[in-house]
Amino acid sequence: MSLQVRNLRYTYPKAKEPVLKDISFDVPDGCITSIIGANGVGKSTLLKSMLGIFKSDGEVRVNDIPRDKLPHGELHRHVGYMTQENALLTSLSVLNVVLLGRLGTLNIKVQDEDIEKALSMIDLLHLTPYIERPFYALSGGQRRMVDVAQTLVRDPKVLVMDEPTANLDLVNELQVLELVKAYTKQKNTATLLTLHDLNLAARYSDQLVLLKGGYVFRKGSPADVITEETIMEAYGVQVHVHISSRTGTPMVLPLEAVTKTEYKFM
Amino acid sequence: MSYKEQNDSSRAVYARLNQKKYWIIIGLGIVCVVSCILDILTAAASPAYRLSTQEVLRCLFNPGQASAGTYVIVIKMRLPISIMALIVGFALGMSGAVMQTILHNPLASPYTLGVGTAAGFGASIAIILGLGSIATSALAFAFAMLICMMIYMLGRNNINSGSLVLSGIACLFLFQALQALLQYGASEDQNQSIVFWSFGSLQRTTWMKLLITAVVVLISSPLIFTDSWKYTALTMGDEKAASLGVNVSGLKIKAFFLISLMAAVSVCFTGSIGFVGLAGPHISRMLVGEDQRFYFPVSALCGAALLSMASIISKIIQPGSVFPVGIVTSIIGVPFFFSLVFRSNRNGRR
Repeated sequence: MSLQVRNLRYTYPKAKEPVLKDISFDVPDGCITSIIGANGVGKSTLLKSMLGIFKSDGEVRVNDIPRDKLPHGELHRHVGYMTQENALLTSLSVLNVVLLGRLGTLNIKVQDEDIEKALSMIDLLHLTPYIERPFYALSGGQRRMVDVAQTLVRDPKVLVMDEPTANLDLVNELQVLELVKAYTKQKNTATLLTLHDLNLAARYSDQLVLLKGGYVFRKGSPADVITEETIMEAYGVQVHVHISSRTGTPMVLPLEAVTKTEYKFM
Repeated sequence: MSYKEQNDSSRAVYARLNQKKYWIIIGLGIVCVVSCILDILTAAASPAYRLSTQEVLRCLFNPGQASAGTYVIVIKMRLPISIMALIVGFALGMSGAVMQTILHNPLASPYTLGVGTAAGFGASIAIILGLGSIATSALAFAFAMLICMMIYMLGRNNINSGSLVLSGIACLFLFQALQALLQYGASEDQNQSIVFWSFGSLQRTTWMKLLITAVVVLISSPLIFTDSWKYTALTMGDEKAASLGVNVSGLKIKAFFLISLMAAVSVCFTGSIGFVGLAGPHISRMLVGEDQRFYFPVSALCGAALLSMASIISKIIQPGSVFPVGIVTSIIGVPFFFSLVFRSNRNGRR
């Protein structure tokens, strides 16, 4: 289920200027597309506008059919959306939280298929020792892993994840993105991520969309988008970019910010 | 080691995790039945007029053989009151639980949001106008529904927990003031009736009132229960629930309508009964957590058991008369409630 965004525009209620002015790009099947850009540039807002959580102008198409013309709930049934905001600290067990990912098919008496899928997803993310533990008693990183399990357990055809690696340590960052990559290739999903870590974005994405000032500043392969010049313009930071001999993707080494602040403490 | 490696089927793993909760539901069911029977056996009259346990039980199981006097006391008076205690307790426990879930607020209950106060105001109007008992109940019901609609309309534009709870509290104060205004202008007799009505009592129960309440509760609670998983998703926050595919505002509107109906029909026949709708959900959360498939029924059964026990106590406090059950639930319930809250605080979260 590929997605197409055309001339999307979104203004926050009571704001004078739109945060997203004119955004167009495609999210093809079987590929990871990542949105990158400075803080506050509207990465999460773009995801929410695309999913219809925010009412935006412009057009979002699903398999070339306008989103609004799809039968009610059709898009929602196939989208796995992981928010950046943390969930409330419920006392639900990890197993129940993951099961909630399959809300569309859950009955009062839970079917064997739902339990099996939940347990196997929990196993994939190495969360099995915690299945009985209340969600609030997990660490921030573990909660994020449970979120990932909850999102993937629905078998989505479109995978939308807002900062999937927030709060995760090195090993879990790599593990989650490897899992997302394997899922995307095996199930041929259209996967859309926002990532703040440019090195991870370059390494795991097939396509990058760099936002600046409400527009798409650059889009294309990681090697096209991540250059010393574009990063300088989009982030205002001098960087050194080289191609990793191990992964073949661009690696970013930050040098210094262009506008230097002299810190004085009262 | 994964659960599958332990040669455990998934179903068995899941059943084991929930086993204790099923036992809690069965246990509470038994407590309700036992309490209801004890309630029927407990006499409110002075010792001289008491029926023996055998007489009561014989009349219950074989009403045709009982003497006319015994029949009236057991079948027409005690039985409907005892069952009403269970059903009203069930309705208050259930509606309190749903309110706390949709508002994300452990202080929400039909009583704290003013449903009882509004019903009392409706009843006061009927009493002052000299209308009969049917009109009193009808007006109480109308105002209880009205306050629910008001709370909803006020909080509708921003249907998050904070604005709805605040609208509820604002409506509570409004109806309290209006009732005070009515009482200020009422005669001494009228005032006495108003005060007596608002205490909350099961003694006005008839089979017809019981039937109406039972029908409303029997229709509303399954409609709530079938959405249990959606309410469970709500415990993770509205935004999370929406991302999982829940139509959050639609679910809240439906819930609000059903619990308004249950709470209004309960208070219009019994007056304002506090604490049950607050304590039921709290005890339930401590026993079974936030999985709403267990939380709702356990809260409802806790409410039923609490009100049934309060009904027994209301008859034995002062032999020869029946204490208003609303006073009993509050006075006995509050210290018990405190002890629960403080104990759970010592044990850590919740």
